[in-house]
Amino acid sequence: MLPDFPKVKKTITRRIGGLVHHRADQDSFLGMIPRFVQHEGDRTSLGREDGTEAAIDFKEPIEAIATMSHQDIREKGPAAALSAAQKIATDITRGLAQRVVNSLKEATDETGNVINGEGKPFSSSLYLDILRTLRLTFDDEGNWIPPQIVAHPQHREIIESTLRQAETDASFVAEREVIVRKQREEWRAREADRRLVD
Amino acid sequence: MHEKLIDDWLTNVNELGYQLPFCEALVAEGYTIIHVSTHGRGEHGKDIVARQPEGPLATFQLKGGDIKLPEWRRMREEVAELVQLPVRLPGIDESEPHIPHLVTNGEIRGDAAESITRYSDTWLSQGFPKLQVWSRRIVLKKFIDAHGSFLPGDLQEFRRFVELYAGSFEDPLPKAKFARLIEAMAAEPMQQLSRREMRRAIAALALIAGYIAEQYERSGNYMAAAEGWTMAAAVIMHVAERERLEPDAYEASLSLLYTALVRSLESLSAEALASNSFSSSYHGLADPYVYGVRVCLTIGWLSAWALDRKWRRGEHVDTERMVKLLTREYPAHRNAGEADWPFLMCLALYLDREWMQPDAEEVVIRYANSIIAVNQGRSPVGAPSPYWSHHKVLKWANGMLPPYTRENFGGHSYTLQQALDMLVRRLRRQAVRVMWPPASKVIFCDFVPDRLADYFLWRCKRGNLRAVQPGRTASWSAWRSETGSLNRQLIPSVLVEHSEWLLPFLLTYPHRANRSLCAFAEAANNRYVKLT
Repeated sequence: MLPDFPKVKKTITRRIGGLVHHRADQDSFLGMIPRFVQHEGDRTSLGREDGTEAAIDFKEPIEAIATMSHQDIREKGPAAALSAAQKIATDITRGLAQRVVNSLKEATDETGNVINGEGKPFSSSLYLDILRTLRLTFDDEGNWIPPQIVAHPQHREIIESTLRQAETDASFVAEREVIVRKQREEWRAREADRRLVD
Repeated sequence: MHEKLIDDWLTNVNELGYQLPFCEALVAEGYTIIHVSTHGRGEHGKDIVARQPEGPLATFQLKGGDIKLPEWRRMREEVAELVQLPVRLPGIDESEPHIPHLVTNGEIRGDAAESITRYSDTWLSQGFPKLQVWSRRIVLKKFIDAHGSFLPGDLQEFRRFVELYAGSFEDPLPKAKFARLIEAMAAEPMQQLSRREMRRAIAALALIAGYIAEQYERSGNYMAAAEGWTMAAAVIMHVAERERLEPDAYEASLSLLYTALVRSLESLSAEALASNSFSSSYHGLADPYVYGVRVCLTIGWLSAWALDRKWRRGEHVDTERMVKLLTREYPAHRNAGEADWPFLMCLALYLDREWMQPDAEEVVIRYANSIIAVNQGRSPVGAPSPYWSHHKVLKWANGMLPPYTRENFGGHSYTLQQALDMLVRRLRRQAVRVMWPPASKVIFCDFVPDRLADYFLWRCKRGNLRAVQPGRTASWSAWRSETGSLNRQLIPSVLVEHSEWLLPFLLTYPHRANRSLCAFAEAANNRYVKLT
């Protein structure tokens, strides 16, 4: 056997593995999703606020492949590993995001909580329709937390410019304010329900 | 190699240190231990009283080191008492003969051997039983025979054993590593063992765990020793529950481990109660960084000790000193994470028993509020989960862990619900009412193993982590009735039978302080919870 350094390599491998977590943390979509490590056991069930309970399906692990050629290693040294790790992190993050989107789609299809754009481009009125359908979230002080929009990168610019444009439209702002105000009242009512009763 | 290690251990240990492992070796031979002196020298020179497998009564006086003529002269009267005085214990007829044994982990040297023989012959001629002398070689053989094939034979396990055996005993017990060692000894193939073999295997497990735990004891690291004894007991309870063993297969070993635990806790409490501060001068400049955690660990174990000593064993506890110490040190406690919970729960249970209910409740309220506080806002940081030991939290807080070990603790808690349950049982409705709105936003996590036996494992392969987002509105009366009773089917039966291990178990395995076991801690220590 040629000289090797298993312990050092093990630590480096774990550090590189940390890149995936880091990438997921940094991801604007995945970073929003609360998550925690399950230290033992083989399953998790989720009890919802309404008293219903569902098993969480961990699904198959997401795999990603990166290759490092002997020549890469010779020429680039540790940088070869780093770029391979970055590719793995990117692929896994993408796979994870795709899986979350699929799960959301399954859930919304099931509940019927879907706004169908019917192939039309993103518009401010579609956005208002979305807001009307969603249960909006608010922070502890009642400030509205706008929803995160998940879209294909090529649609991002259109969405951003549409919303920027809409901000200058007084009727859009007023309508949005109506929706938010209404939902804020509903939120307040729900929050007022956080109490201990007989 | 094994022999060399055990030989080394035997050389360094004193008579108190090898007393309990020696008992385990006797159990492995089929002896029934009747009495073990827990506070040093036994009555009438008898440190251990046991019954041989064939029936006769055997008495043992244990000595440490070589016995030369001067030592023999000093101990002669005690040995004469061992030989000449009958066994006076409940259930044993004083007229029953016994076989006295003088045992040492050293050698009989020089003229001592001749003198011992002469005295022994004289006592024999006077009608007393013949003194048996077991020196180092015999004792070592007994230890080695007791292990049988149970000492880690696999190279990987053997290496783990050696690493633990030659560890740094001033540091915390490396519990995960220790668990891997002793749990491997109790792996599933034990099902094939006969009853006698099972008893022997359990004694061997306790003995091997004892080689490591005893060294912490000898180093004065009493909490680590207590954890070691508790972990050995937990693995035995795992086997007992898993195999549905009859008590006679494991009671002897469990009882000896309890004796060892009590001894460690007595030493810990003596040291703590005699102190005027918990400070340590070793690297004193860094001490303030760990002081708060030391306070949490010490007051938790002290409370468990006091509850056990005063209300289970019916022995005296200097309550005034205890309260003075708790009043002095508790303010220094800093919440390190959810692993604090079982320690604070023990403190609350103790204060409760001492009629200091408001203080007990204040401890729980303060803890619950601290968990709520770190779980509020848009990006809550949360508290390290109970899977993060105090040691790990300290390492993390001081930049000693690599970034990839980071976890997200925000928005969920493994222990908040248990703290609130305690307040509900104590009718602290106003306190719960105030806490409920922010608490109801926290996801309550509760891990329950599939098999009750697996509660006693460091990590379970099979089990369900239940994460519950509580409803916004909570009903006080429903909560009251839910927390007032506990179905005993949810608790391992061996733990119900041996509830003396419950608090030490929860202190050693903080991640096992789930809702059911915390309710059982109440059922075992007060009347707030009824076991049904």
